[in-house]
Amino acid sequence: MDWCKRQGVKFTTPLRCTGTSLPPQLLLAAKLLAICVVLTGAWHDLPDPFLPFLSFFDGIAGTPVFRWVLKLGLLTAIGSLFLNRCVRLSCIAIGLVFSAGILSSRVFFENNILFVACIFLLIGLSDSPQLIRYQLALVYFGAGTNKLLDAAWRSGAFFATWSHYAIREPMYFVFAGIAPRTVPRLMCWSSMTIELTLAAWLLFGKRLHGAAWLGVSFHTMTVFMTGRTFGMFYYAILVSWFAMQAWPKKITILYDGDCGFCDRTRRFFERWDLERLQHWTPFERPEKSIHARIADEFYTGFAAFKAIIVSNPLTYFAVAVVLSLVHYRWMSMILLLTMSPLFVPVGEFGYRRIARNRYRMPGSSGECALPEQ
Amino acid sequence: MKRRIGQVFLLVQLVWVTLAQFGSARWLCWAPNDYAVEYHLVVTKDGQSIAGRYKIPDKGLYENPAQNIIDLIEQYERTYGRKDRVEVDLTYRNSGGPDSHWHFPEDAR
Repeated sequence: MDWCKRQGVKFTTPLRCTGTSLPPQLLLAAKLLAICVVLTGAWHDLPDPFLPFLSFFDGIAGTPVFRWVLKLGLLTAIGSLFLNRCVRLSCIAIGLVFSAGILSSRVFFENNILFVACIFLLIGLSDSPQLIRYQLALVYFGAGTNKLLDAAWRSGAFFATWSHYAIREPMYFVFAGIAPRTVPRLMCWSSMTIELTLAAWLLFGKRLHGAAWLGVSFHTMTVFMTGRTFGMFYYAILVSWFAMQAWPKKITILYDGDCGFCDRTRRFFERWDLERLQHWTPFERPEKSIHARIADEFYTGFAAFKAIIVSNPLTYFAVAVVLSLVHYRWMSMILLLTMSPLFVPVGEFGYRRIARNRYRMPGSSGECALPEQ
Repeated sequence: MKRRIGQVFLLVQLVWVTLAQFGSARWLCWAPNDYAVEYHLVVTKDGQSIAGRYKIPDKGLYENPAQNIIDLIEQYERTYGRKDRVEVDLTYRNSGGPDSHWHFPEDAR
């Protein structure tokens, strides 16, 4: 404990992302991916040398020492990352551990592991998300081009075969039964088109918000259809898109200070505002719903509530934990839908019900001033 | 300096991805799960059938090119198994296409 105090390490340090040599958005991305590495057990699969890409690894085959050194190195680097110590070096070390695992064993090689290694290495080398952006563009370009040059993809034969092994969603087979040649071909061409579109958008586009939604939706739909995250790939893709978003700006929230329930809500959110981004101010006169302002953007009602949640980095830690531990193919789809504009009408309905009845909620004093209807 | 290293790293990948298109294997070239290779591996050593020699399932769906499986077998038999008298019969088909056969040691490079 004394050591922690001397080093400035608090119990909230693992969840904080500012005050290091890495841009906070990149540090947050690295921590999120590290959480997924630990909770999915990917760290446990690090290999012994076997059929390596580089023959000198055969010299250390036959004992578990190499594997344990990799695991110890990985967990130490992840620990250091979460303590906000030597964060760049930690990211590079994590990337090198996975790279060493791949180079030491062709059987261990998978594209998703390689992608994770690249993301960590590039975060460690980055002062901005540019390198991550170009890595993602390269992955989409490589994947899309490889498919486009493959006759089995162009004809749809790949999907016609692969679907019987991989697709878990029954509705796909209903449609494929109606049009057994068209549907697989459509799926193949959709995948190729989306990947090459994303590559071009990442390389030449100025604004990436739409690309992020397209990319995340595409991969989430794949998870939903197959029930697979393709190892670490889904997590690494989400983190990559996330790393390119701006770090949340300060948010000013205007709320009903006379309402006990509202005040209790404020205290809850303030307690978990570790980065001190929120500034809560009571209304000067009663209003119907909460207001939130981020820079020049103004939100009310459910949209304000959503802005408070998505501007808190802790939200993404929770999402990473849920996605890593809950292996249910609907989960990623549910999370995507709740964060999308499609959920706003539902959220607004729920928010209005609560706002109208907030004087009856737990924590209310019963003396809340109600706005004129 | 850090950024330059990152840029060089990306450039190396771009070259590798491009060159990989001129070969049949797809190691390290960003072609994730792009193949539906249904394969069956039969390995006999001194006339006895053995399983799990290459630490991959003996049959199933492989989502990388069949050449990758062949690379594994050849590397194993060239190194760890060079003193063994092994015969390997690999039957595979890509995306529901016609069956292909590869036999070790006859077809090995």
